[in-house]
Amino acid sequence: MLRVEGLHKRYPVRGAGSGRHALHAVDGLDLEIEAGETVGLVGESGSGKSTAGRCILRLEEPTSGLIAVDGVRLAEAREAELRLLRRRMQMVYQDPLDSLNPRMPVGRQIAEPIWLLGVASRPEAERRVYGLLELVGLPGEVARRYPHELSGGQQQRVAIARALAPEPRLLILDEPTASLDVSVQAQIVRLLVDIQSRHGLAYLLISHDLSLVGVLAHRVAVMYCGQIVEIGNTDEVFARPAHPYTQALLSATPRDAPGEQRSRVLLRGEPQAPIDPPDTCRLYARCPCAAPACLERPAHLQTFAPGRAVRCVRFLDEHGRGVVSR
Amino acid sequence: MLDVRDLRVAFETRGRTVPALHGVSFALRPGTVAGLVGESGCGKTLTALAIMRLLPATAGIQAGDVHLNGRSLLDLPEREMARVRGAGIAMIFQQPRASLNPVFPVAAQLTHVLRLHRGLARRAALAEAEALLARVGLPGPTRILRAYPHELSGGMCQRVMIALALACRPRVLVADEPTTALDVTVQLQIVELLRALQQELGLTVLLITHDLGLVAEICDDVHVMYAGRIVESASVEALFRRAAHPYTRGLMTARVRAGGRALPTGIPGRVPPLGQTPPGCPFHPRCHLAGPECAAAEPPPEVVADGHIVRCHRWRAGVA
Repeated sequence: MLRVEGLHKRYPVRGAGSGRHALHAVDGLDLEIEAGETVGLVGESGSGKSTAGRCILRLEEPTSGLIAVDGVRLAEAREAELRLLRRRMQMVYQDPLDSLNPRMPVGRQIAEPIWLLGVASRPEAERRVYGLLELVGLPGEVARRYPHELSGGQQQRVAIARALAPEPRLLILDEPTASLDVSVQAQIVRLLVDIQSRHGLAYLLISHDLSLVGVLAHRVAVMYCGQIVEIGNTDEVFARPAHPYTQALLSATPRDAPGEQRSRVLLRGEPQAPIDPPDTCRLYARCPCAAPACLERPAHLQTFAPGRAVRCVRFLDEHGRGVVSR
Repeated sequence: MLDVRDLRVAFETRGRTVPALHGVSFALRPGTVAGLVGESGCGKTLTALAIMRLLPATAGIQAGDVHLNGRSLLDLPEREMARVRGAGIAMIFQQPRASLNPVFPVAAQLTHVLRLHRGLARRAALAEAEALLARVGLPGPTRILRAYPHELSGGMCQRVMIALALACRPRVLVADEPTTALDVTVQLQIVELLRALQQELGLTVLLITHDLGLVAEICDDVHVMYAGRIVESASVEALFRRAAHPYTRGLMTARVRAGGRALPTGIPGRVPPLGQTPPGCPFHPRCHLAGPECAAAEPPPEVVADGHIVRCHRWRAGVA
């Protein structure tokens, strides 16, 4: 349903010495999402995961790359077509209070995308608000309220209802629970699972929270410095992570109970911004398993098992016989 | 060591008194890490600020006492309290960059503290500052000394904050969400650093967090807060094995667990806003065990086992 190929987003950087420099925020992203599927895009701040999400919606103009929804390419879409595609893709942001209009009752905010995007007439849109509120577990009287009158969890439910209003096929969820309290996070997670199973939506879940991705995502793509370093079925990636960065992320998730033993993969230092990055491994300076070979060859994302790919020269040398280049 | 007894704090707004802490009591055992756990707005940070006597002007301590090594902190004159902050109790915060002075390099901020509190001469202070930075695992301490906070990453700023906090050799360290603002791989580095320092220096730590995973990682004792009260206190093992308060158990099942496909359960409703705390047990409107007595009276502390205290009328029904 969504296909992304070779997505690049570069920002010019000034003041980094002489000549032209560029920050490679997203550097050659390939991704496919099927209807009813959730793909998790995980990474730390600055890894390019949110920029990728924004480029897919064309909220940010990609430098290059192909984005196609149901076979229609976004870049070639005319204004009318783009409107139709926008209907199919909606976004839910981290902070609901920032993404809702403080001066409009929430019912009108939910109705607006329905008639603005031409899904239904305005009176019909206003009728549909109540069904949408019910879908996200809110009473109909909430329609008359303003965002500030609602709790954080209720606000996020409203933001989800508004995203669902134009009947999208894909929701891009950018840290949908990060601003909520623990007890409320769980409610939103359940709601998202429920909506997906009922409506067959595809989700692109952008998050730094591996536990959340583990619960929601069928497949996971791990991003580091603008690139996917590992992708595969979530259960398999979590059980046997191939890339040292994935291993480090997994070992950094908090324990479930005291005394639980866990192997620790500790990275040195912190991520660097990918300004004019090399085509060799970008984790090299921080990696506990770095070897001379890592600097000799470019690191490509390569398939090493069905549905699994990794961007690690050392891992592929050791495990990747008969690998297929992507 | 640090003993907090029946601490009551209220906000004064437009002539109205809004209670925020309703009698918080706990004690830190020397050389251990205690977690103060709860969701936003439950009073964790307010408790820490009251201990440090750093409450905002709109808030005041109504009753209660805070003892550090047998000495009451609430009665100390401000000059002596200033000495306690630093040498007695030091504090690190969630936003390390916001707690450093942006217009001075790291060296100036560290040596200022060392000269003021420990009376070191300029040269000695500089050498000690460098040693402290090396101690908190910063590579190239001489370079860091010359840097301004904006030139450092979040993780490096937090390490500088920890160095500052340790500068006066405190006995107690209050760490308020010290890893929340950091990237996950950096969080782990800071947790490992705090654990190593705590063991080496025999520090007593009060760790404020919303993250039960972090508690499992590093704490010895846990105090769970809800609506300005401590609703359960226990050793970390007892709490994870046999939490008695329905709120604590709710928090446990609300966690999105690593490596599991099981959906978290959550707790219905939400944390009541300040000043709208329901009568009786503050948790009863959200509690699946609640009965008539829960709305009528606030539950007194009950002993579940040695060192395990809960405030719930019906905890026996839930533990089973």
